[in-house]
Amino acid sequence: MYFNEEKAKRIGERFEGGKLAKKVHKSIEQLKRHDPDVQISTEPTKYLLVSNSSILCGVSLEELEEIFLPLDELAEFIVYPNKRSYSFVQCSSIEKSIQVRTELHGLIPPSLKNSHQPFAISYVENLPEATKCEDFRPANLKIIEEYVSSDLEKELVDLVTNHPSVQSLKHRAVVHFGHVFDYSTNSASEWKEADPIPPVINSLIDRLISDKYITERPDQVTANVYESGHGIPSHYDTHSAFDDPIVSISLLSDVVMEFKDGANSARIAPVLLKARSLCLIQGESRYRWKHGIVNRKYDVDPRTNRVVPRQTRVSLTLRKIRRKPCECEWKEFCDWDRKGEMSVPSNEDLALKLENSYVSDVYENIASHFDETRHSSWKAVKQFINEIPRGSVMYDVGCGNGKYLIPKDGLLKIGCDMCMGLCDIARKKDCHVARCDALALPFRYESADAAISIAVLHHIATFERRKRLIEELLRVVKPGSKICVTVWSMDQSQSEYAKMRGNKDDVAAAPAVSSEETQTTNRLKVHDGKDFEQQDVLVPWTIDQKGETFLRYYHVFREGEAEKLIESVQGCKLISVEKEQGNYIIIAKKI
Amino acid sequence: MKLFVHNFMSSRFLKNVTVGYPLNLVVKQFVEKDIEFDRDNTIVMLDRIQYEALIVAAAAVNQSDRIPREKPEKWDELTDEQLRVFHHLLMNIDVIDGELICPETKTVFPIRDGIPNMLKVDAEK
Repeated sequence: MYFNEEKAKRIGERFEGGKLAKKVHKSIEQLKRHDPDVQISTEPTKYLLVSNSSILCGVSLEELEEIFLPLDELAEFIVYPNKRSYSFVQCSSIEKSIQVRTELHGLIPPSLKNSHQPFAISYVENLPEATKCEDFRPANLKIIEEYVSSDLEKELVDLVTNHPSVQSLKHRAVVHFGHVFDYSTNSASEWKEADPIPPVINSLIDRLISDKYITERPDQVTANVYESGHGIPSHYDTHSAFDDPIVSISLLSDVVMEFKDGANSARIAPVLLKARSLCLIQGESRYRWKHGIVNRKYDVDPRTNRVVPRQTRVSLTLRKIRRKPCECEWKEFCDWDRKGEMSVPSNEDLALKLENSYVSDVYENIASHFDETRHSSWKAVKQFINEIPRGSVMYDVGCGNGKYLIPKDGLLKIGCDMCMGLCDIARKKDCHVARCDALALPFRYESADAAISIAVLHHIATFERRKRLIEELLRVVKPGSKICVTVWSMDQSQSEYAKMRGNKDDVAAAPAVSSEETQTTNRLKVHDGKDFEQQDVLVPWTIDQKGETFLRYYHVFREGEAEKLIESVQGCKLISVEKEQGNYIIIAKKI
Repeated sequence: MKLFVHNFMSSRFLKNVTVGYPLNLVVKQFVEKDIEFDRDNTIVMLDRIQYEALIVAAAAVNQSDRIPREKPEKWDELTDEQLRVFHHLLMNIDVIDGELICPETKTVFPIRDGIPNMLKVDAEK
């Protein structure tokens, strides 16, 4: 095995002189770039800029504590989950600060597990300005600080912690009022009544109504006692179980609640819920975003990045049981299939409706952004095109931005697409295009020598229709001609897409608290993880600059499915099915 | 839409249409743009087209008198001058606004901004 001795871990080594000066210079450059409001100080101060000490460098907060706290037990930390390679340490006094710097400046601390870079430490005049929390919040989330007085806080905490019905769960204690919350269905059972809602909570409800935060009286209250270090997995409050909003009251300890976009779990909004605050999880923040609390003993305040120890926390969740089906506008994230609208289509009409909303309309909306991002070609497709004799006629069905039409390769190429926006883009690049439905090709019978259809077949919602696409391609090519069709495969390992989504939740690792119903119905699901859990999914397309997300329908192919489809088409002979980066490249011939 | 493309279009995909070819063409606006002439490429292209549809296309831009009524026997026996006429018709003329019409059902497909819209649902509106 290759091993570079010079790169060996230099544990405990200390940098000095010019080498260290270089490291210091580098860290100050980084500081200027990321936190221009922080000034370097030539005189000692309480605040230290510590380079090579962030998660990005493989240094955890626990390691920082282990290194700094023995030198100053009251030191406080400001850490960054991304972007910055440094942290700030606030010492309890200037004397301590000088001592800490003398000990650690230039040192590669022996206790570091992953990093082999030395700490370069500089004094700074101040810490970075707090950012606005609102910037990170999902839409419609509302937080009112100090909604509960200290006296009421005490009364509520006493009520919950001393309650005879308090029940211990894995990581927290819980007590229900009004109705019992059923953890197997994640809903409240109408007929299983719990202890009545106590007067003190009832008067809190009166106040919520008179303050116009809610209109309907909640009839199900869950109180949770979280020991420091414990949280709750990311989840949606089941749409069909409760009305809007979900009211959450935090007591005793501040905590950071993480909201994750249901269409993109890498989009995380950490939200600080202060003790005694009221939080209304409603609208988009309730229906589209998951929320949860990470299991750990500290939080990083999203406004200041300061590390705050977590105390025992009590939360009250006030909900109103839903008695009519959910009709929220975030139907793709809903737990019922909306009278079939969100189910995997079983007939032609439903398939067409689905393809219109979740394929055609979406492409019209994302056409220009799509064009900016689609340039590289599949190797196997290129090879297929290269093997077609020069001077042949080739159709590109679903030509998109025209990337296979543009090269001047001696072929007579005509493209078509359902999306007008993409037809326009391809035409502006001097491609020959027509707008049409891939299942009704406007080409003369047996008029081409080859046809390709790249990444189209997986947007077609039933087997019958997928079969018809192949039949259409065969209809317009001459006997003996080949067609090349690509689809997404269910197995996305090794694909660029998986790499791109590598920082997202692993579906298996983070079981969503979803209802039984979701797992058994034949329902479309918003794809959120690395691996496809089912074949019919809605895959988000996000335009970052605009913060917009569109959901595209996909039927991803299982191993062997392409072969079966081709076999079912009369007069079609399968040549090969190749796998390339999460795609099946199917080549077949018209007999 | 280049007239070359018209040569490959058909309305056979419509219900009860048996041939759907050639499509009638109405040209309301077209532009001419010089695409480089290449003798060999032009011959290759002419080998792929249907002459009857080319006559329809030429008529639509009032240029039928520039090409013979009958298909020439052998394309490679034509002079460059003669081939240039075909090249001009098929590659230089770009229909911006017009209609394609199914010869059997008379269904009208609009050509707007140079793009023929062959969607059945739009045609039926």
